[in-house]
Amino acid sequence: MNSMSQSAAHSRVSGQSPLRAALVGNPNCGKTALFNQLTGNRQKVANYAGVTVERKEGRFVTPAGRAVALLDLPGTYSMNATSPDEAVTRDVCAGKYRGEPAPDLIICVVSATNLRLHLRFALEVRNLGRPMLLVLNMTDAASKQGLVIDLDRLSMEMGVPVVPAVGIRKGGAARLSGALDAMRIAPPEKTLSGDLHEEVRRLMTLSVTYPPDEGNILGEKIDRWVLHPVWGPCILAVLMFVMFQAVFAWAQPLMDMIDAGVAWLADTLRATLPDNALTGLLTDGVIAGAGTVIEFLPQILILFFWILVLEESGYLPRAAFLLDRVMASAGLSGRSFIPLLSSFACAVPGIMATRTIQNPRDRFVTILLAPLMTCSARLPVYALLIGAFIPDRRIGGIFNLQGLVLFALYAGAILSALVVARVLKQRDRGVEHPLLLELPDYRFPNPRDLALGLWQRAKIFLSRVGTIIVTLSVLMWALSSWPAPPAGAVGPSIDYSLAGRIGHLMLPLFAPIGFNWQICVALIPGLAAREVAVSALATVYAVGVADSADPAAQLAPLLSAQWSLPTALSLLAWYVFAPQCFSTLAVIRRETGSWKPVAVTAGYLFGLAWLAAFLTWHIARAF
Amino acid sequence: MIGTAITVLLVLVCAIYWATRLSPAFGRVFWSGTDRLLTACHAPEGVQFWARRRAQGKKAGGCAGCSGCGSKGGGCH
Repeated sequence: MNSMSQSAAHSRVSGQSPLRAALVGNPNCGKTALFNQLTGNRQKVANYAGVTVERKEGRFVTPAGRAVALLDLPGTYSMNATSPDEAVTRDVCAGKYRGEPAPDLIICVVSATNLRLHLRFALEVRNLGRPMLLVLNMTDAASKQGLVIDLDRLSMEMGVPVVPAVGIRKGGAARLSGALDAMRIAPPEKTLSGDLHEEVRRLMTLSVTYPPDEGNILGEKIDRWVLHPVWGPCILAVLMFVMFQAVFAWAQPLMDMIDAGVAWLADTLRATLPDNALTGLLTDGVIAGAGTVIEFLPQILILFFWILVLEESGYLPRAAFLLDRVMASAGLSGRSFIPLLSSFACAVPGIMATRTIQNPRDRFVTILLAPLMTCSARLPVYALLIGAFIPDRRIGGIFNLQGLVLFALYAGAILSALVVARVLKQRDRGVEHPLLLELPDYRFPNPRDLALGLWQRAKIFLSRVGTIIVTLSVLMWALSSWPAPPAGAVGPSIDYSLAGRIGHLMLPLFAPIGFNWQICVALIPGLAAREVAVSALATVYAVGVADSADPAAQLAPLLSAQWSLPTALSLLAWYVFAPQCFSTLAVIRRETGSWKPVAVTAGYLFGLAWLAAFLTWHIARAF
Repeated sequence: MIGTAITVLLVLVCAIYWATRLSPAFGRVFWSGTDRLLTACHAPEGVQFWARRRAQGKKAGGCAGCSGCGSKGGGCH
């Protein structure tokens, strides 16, 4: 650091300006967990690499009252960035990031359980010559492994202060916070021009003592089964299968409770309010729309419970390793796994996570594939149609048929993605994509983190219900109610409404795939968010049915009475590919900087959806 | 009558919510107009600030993760 920027740093520290510190380190060393501990933020953390792809900023105050502005940067293995997310870290540390001055202090986080790899990066950071603090995270896990690390010796040899931390435990960052008060913000006492690997070996020899039997650890025993060429894929298939069975088997009691609550609310409103337009809007619009969608909250939470457990335990990178051969056969890079996996929650973070992919062509293909992964917004559509048309019976006395169909829909989407990838990567045949993957230690999922993760998912879902779904339900109700039928008109009044007219206009395009005009109408707001299709159907049918006492609860029986099985299957097939929500298209535009990929994505998904629905409808009708 | 008025108002609010979501340009025009109206009506400063902040909107751009994406409209490359 030159003298001018150093004095600027000192003046900021001594004055009222907060100390600007940046958290850097290898992927999955626990930076974001420490960031959340220090700042009280709730950024996403998981037990695999590549979760943070953007810079995040938070603030906190040290025990002595020093204000700190803390940056959480994407993990990187080296200062020689090869992907967009790594470039963020490199540029911020070097002071070249647009609109971001160089940090006063770099807090380099290393995992105490993987010092051999992480110290190399710490030495690279030290060579930048900027004030630095080394945080030895996961010291609890290191102790469990029998590792003894001499912190004073490591600090002396590195020439920078070293503090221990446990990012995932409450109060685990207290010593780090205290160290910021005690330390002098100054450049490292040492730098290195020689071989980094040699220096790491020297540091390890001087400061780390290994247990007598290093190899005999539980993780390795588990990996012998989990990564086995035969048993590994079997375990993965069983885990996925049980996950989808649980979505249907465990959720029903909770769904019944919510259903009863929604029915009670609708009844109370009808009994209390006069029979006018406002009552119609509240019961047929808001309650029928939002109430129908909110019922699926337990299923979404069960799905995310499984995903969070797999994330926290460290199993997911193992799954990536197991699936690498399958992905390579489709021409995909191993780095595509995490973005595609993230897309099962929502395509938006999945597409953003493609920043970890260095090869532009691989990144582009992964962006195009991300929408094919079944996002959680599709679950209400699947659950509604499966609940209405697939009997709740056991196959072979063990498997729930509804769960099997859900599993098949998810598997169908994954297989389609592999086929599309194969087609898109036709030109790249023969190009090898070696997967370099750091397998984290197994960890028992922390119940607090699980609860927090589920709470966040519930909050996201409920805020979507409270904004997107309620507002669209109101608009859908208005479109379905106005204009009123002309005097002497015969037939349901909804046929004369704007929604009815729009639906009939769309019918020529969708009649060949078995859709009726009500489905056509529901597809439009479904572009805002997939689950809105359910609320739109509920509103359209609630307005159309005069004596709907509990519109939310009546939707499934109404659909099973009015639709044929081929129509329901056709709609399910449609939603495996369904053209994307606006948010996904917007993030594709932002990440690629062009409208062309947006048009390609929307076009090919529409084509696939139409074709799949067409084939499904005709095949189902033949049987 | 009051029920119908509230219904129309609710539908209008929802329509404006979606219009501003789908078209940020319309949103800026709408909130600028609202800001001017609130100023003319001598509405409380907090309400005016609320409308003004929405009128300014979010700056377009990319993730700011790297340099040189200005010519790409904010997209990564």
